[in-house]
Amino acid sequence: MNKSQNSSQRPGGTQISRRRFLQVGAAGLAAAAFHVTGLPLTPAQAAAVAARRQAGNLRVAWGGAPATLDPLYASADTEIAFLNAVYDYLIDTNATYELVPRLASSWNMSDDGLTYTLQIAEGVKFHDGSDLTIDDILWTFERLRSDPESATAGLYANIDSIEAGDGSSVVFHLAQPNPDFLYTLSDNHAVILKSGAENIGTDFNGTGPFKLDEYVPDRATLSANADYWAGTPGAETLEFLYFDSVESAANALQGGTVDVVLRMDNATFLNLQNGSYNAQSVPTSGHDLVRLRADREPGSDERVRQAFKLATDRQAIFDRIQFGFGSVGRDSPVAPVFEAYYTEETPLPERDPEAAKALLADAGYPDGLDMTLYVPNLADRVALAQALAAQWAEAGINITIEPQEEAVYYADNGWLEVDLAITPWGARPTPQLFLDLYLRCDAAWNEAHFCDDELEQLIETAGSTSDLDARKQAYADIQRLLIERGPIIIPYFFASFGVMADTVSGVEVLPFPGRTNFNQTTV
Amino acid sequence: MINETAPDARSARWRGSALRSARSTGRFLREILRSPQSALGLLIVLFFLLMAVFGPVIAPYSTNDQSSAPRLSPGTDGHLFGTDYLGRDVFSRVVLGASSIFRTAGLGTLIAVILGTFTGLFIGYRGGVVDEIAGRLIDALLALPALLIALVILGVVRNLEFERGSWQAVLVDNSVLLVIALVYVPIVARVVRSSTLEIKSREFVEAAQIRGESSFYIIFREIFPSVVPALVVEASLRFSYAIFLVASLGFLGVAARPPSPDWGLMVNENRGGLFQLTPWALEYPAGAIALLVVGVNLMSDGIRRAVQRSG
Repeated sequence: MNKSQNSSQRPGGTQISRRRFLQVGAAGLAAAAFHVTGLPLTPAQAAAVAARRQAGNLRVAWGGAPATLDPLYASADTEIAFLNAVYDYLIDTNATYELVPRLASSWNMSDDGLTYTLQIAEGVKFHDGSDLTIDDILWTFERLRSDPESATAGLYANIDSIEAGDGSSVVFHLAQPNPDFLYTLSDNHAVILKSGAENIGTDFNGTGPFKLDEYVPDRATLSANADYWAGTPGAETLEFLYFDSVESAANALQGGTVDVVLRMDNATFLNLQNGSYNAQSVPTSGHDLVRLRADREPGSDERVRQAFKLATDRQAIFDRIQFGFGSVGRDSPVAPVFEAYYTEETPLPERDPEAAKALLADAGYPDGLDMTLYVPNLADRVALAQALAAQWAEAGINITIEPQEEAVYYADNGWLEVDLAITPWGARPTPQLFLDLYLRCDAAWNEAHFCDDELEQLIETAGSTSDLDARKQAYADIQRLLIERGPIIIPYFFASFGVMADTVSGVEVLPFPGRTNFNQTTV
Repeated sequence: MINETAPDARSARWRGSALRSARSTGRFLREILRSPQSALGLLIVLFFLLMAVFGPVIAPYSTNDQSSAPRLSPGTDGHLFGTDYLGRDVFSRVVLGASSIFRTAGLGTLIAVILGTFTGLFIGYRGGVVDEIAGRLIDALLALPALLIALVILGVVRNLEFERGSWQAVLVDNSVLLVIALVYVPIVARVVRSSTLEIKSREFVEAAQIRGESSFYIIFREIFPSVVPALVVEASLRFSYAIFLVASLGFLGVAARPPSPDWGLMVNENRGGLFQLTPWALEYPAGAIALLVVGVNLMSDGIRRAVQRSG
């Protein structure tokens, strides 16, 4: 591939000017090598790409590899995707966080909200040929609650007891009512294992749509489970390929050596979207949380918090950093994707740096503020920090950006101590989870150290009432309160991305890419 | 008698040598300019030096000005080098980034050369045990890659917190410059030491010793001028390595904090998926680094040739 071809075929350049040529030459061969990925294919290359695709063999690429495959500790997309293929969850969630039956074909809640009964599907078999029994489910949840250090121990602390019900049903008794209880059953860790299973994480005897054939460091090869209780999967084999980076995975898709790439950055998606691929972008509830400590100066002053909000242009940030993917935030974790609870009833004040400046002067900072903004050293967060710094500067808030490696940022709970920081929060299926995690007075991750009696009461109500209207009202009030005096700014919610070759059908990309199901997929 | 005439003789010698050095500098420059490549190198370095000095006057936008439309391609709407994903003018950022390269790489090299010269002259002249011990120390330091030392030091220093305005904070703010100096002191010292070892056995040094001159006088009046040619070559070479080191540290994210227009940082920020969207935002700073390094190398080639010719 010579340089002149590169410069003439790149977006924006039609003629090879001398300056253009010199420019590419100066950028060096390394840069030129990258360009190749952006080029349209010649007919010969396209034919070669098509030849590399095989019917019935689905190849899914990831920009990373699993670290653990024990359901108790797995968390990354690559890990959950593997578990999701080999095992089954009781309940799934769809692209708009609605509950979808899986092993549990139906469910009902007692009137007091303390007992949930789930009907389990009939004729479910493990890969070793044995039948799924209620004992397996009891054993699985016993295991999930056994390690007090694990994430699930806290998640299921509210379960008083679990027992086998009539026929093939399982009954959960709760200590406190929790209207989101079924969502906790759809948690990423909660795949159903065989009772008494050993070597979990290296031997995989699941009920899932695919059986593991071979696992080597850079790939997992699985084949369809012909006896799958919900019908034989559409693809004969499923391969997970683990690349070093998302760019390599995207290159592999363009070269035809993989069929699907899930989970990528905004820019990579934008590039792939322009090709002849089936590109899906799904809004999620994950977000970057910009927060100001509210228990000491300067954040303890409501006017200061208001000034930061007034100085921020959320739409501009959304357009530049998210490239318009995902959704614009309104400073509360009740994301637009939570359709039942999201509201725009309380107006978000227009951006007004002058008013922000006046508020700061009112609060005793006539010369503005000098603050350090701590941020994990990840591309999008550093970009957000730079955008905020430019916008806030107009209101007299001078920011020194301090990018820290993730290990340093989270070390010794440093991120909870600092005054001003940006923390990325992964997508969760209910708004309540975010509120409980970082906005309650005694929440372990209450980064902003915000404790507001009214908010506390509202979160309590939203998290315990089963009355949908009362819940809606509580969430609406929470959104209003956070816009008025909250210590947080949420400029946007992330999108989840999946790009696949046009030969692939039957993939619905989910907010958590690792939970994407492939049993209906055909190649 | 020696004491009475010495001051006069010395001042005459000072004046004479000043004239001589002015004349030899002129000859030296002409020697460099004689080869077109070295002239080009010198021109490139001067070009960037002017950019560093007059950057704030030349650049139409400030470092973190995001008022323009993002992702404009080069040439459109008065953005000579286009804009990056945040809507910042790439031309302004490249121009403004020049000063930090010269400040860190240039000043760092200068400090390294000064300290390294003192150290090299001293241990070379003293010899014996001092030379043995210092020589081994220098060898030990040279065994470690410069980038590794710099990364370790900067990694530790950057996470220390000091009050704004305190002297520790000033040191931390200039840590890249100091690290460059620190990393290159042993290298310069070794070059100067080996020249010193060779020169101190010459007759004119022995003559000065017999005259009863002080060690200070001998080192700086007799030995130092003879070390200068080797030193100049070494310094220009160090400068080009320092630019590379600063750019690498910037790329790795330890040299400058965003939104600094550090060239290395700009390359890092615009690689990956962004590269296909805004190739110009990476190509121009990368090109600037390449051009400056090539320029400095051509110039130092010329310097080496001129040194050899003018003997």
